[in-house]
Amino acid sequence: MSNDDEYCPVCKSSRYLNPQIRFLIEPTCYHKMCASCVDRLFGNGPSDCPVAGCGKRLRAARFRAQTFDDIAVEREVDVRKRVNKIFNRREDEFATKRQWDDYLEMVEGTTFDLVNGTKKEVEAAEKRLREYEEANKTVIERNVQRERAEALAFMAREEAEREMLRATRKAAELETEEDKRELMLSRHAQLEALSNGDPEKAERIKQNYIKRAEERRRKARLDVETAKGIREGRALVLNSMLAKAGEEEDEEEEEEWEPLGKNVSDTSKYFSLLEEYPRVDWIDGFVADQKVAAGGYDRQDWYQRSLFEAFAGLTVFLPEDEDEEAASKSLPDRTDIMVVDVPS
Amino acid sequence: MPTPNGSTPTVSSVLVPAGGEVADINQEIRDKYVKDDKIGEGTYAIVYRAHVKGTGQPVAIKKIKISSASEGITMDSLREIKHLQELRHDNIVNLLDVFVGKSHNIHAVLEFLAGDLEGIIKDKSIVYGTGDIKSWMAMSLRGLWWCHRNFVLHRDIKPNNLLYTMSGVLKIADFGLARSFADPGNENMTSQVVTRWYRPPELLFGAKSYGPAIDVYSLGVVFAELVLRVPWLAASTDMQQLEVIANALGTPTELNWPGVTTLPGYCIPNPDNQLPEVDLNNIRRQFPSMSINGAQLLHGMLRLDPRKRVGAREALESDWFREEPIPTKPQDLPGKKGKEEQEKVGQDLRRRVGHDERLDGGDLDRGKKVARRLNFGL
Repeated sequence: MSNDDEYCPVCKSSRYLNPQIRFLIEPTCYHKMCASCVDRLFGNGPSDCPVAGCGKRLRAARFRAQTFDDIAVEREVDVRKRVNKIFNRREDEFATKRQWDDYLEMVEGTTFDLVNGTKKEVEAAEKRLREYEEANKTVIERNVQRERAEALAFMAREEAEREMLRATRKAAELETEEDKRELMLSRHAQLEALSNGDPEKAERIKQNYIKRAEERRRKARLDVETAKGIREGRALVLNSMLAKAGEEEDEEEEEEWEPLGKNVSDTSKYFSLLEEYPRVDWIDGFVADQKVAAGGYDRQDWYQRSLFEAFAGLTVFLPEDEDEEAASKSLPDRTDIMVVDVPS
Repeated sequence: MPTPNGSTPTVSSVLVPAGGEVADINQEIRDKYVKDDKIGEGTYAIVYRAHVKGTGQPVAIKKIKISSASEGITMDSLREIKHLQELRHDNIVNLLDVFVGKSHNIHAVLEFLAGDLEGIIKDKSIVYGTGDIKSWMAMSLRGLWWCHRNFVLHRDIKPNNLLYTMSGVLKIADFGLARSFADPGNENMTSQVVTRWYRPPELLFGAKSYGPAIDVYSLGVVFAELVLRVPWLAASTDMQQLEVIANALGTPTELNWPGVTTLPGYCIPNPDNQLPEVDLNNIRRQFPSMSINGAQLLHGMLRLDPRKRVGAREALESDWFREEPIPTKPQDLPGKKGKEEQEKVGQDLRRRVGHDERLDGGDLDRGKKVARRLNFGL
């Protein structure tokens, strides 16, 4: 930036002419231009990029100063930020190291395609990104929340640490002061006792002071310990909260989706429906009627039904008329599709 | 539990004069159940809570009223019994038995259900999510698929006909308007079926030949209602209903629905504001909380042209059911179960004190009784 012959590619004004010049970029096409050009061109709402052959739509609000000298690096960082916001899974979500590595490789591959790929590759990567985002909305959201919770927990931990230090310091100060006061008092009392000609009392007062000082010190140590305990306890609670935020939905194994439910199938072992059947006048005439077709009547339904009924009853074997009990027992499988008897 | 085929001989007993062997079978079935209390009363039936003697398994008994004015029992109950006898599926209400009571009323014994989806949608204290909706949709689509697979049109799919058991399994109920698929040449199907809010446009246009797509549309509207938690296409007259549909889904024209103008009741419901049929993006805008796959499924179920609508089978193949969050397990679904369960326990307690339950049931029940004895130390 200190370079004197750096100039704005739009208005050609350079740092030599205008020492205050600031260069901005817009993360759509990354074409550099000076702040006054941005004001001039985009001050009245979004407009097209003035660089010949670009013509991307840019907005004033999205212009920002360049962080990196190399525009390619700048762009890659932006892409990475975006990709990482979507691919935000963590190592502990994967069962094996291998899966985690594969995932990382996939993320890196997508990023590389977005940064360096041909137009086709970029499109494919964009699609992959979109599809992943759509499919993993809940996971992404969960990880975002987890991150937030972690940041919160970290801040809370820092705060607790600071609080504790402050408390210890304050306690130490108080203690020293107290000690000083007590010492002075006890000295006075000792002197008084001595002046009254009672050296035993003076000795007693001295011992008393020593004992109390020790007591105080022990109590102070205990306070520090308690504070530490509280802090650790708090950390524990936070950790468990984090664990909860992370896990929530992982407990149950996913079951394969079966469209028709368990143990139900809709194929018949006797027939399968053809796409088309030979023309029959009376059916053709009926379905050719516009108002029949428009009402949603489908001849395939009728074929299906006719075939079904043709085969219905084939699996029923009635015993020689005497045993009614047995006859009714064989009833449930009188047809091949109505066999799913549901015990409740 | 009684076998479903146990009911077959009983129904025939309705048709022959009571007496002899048939009457005995009827008596046997009637004695299997004990009526507890009345739960509800409709125009053509009274519903009682009841339980199986000996096991205490709760059931519901629908006592069908005989209207002496008309030709005996109503068409509705006949349809219901006829179709429920045939349909056995996890997600269709189970008809356990049919018997004739003392006053010659037909009684249909159905499994006991805890509540319906309408109650859940309306009860704002219940919170449910995408996984729950997915589970309900999956179960109702399976039930519907089974109806269609067996050539039965339900013709009255709506939230309060989608019931759930105490263990959360959804069941399609109320087959009072059901009929089987029409044969070619039949142009006599009535278009006056399906509760208005859930009635598909072809029926509103008076189509006389239609197919399973009508139920799919109704379920699509239920789907939208589950998401929004308010009735989605609500109107108070048939004409208004068409207008509401046209505004929400697009104006039906020859372009998006070839042949629609030949339907007897065709009109342009919103002439001042004709709209093209909604596309996926439009649906996504109306239901921003839904994922792409969910919106695609809804869009597929709500196509104006019945030929373009997805079938129940196709709908079940939707990727929406595979993506996160996966469908909730039935037992984890929300619903008012606590109270019912308490009551059930209460019944058990009452019975234990030794009201005379016939202990010499069929072989089938005996095993259960032993278990009970062990459990409660009788």
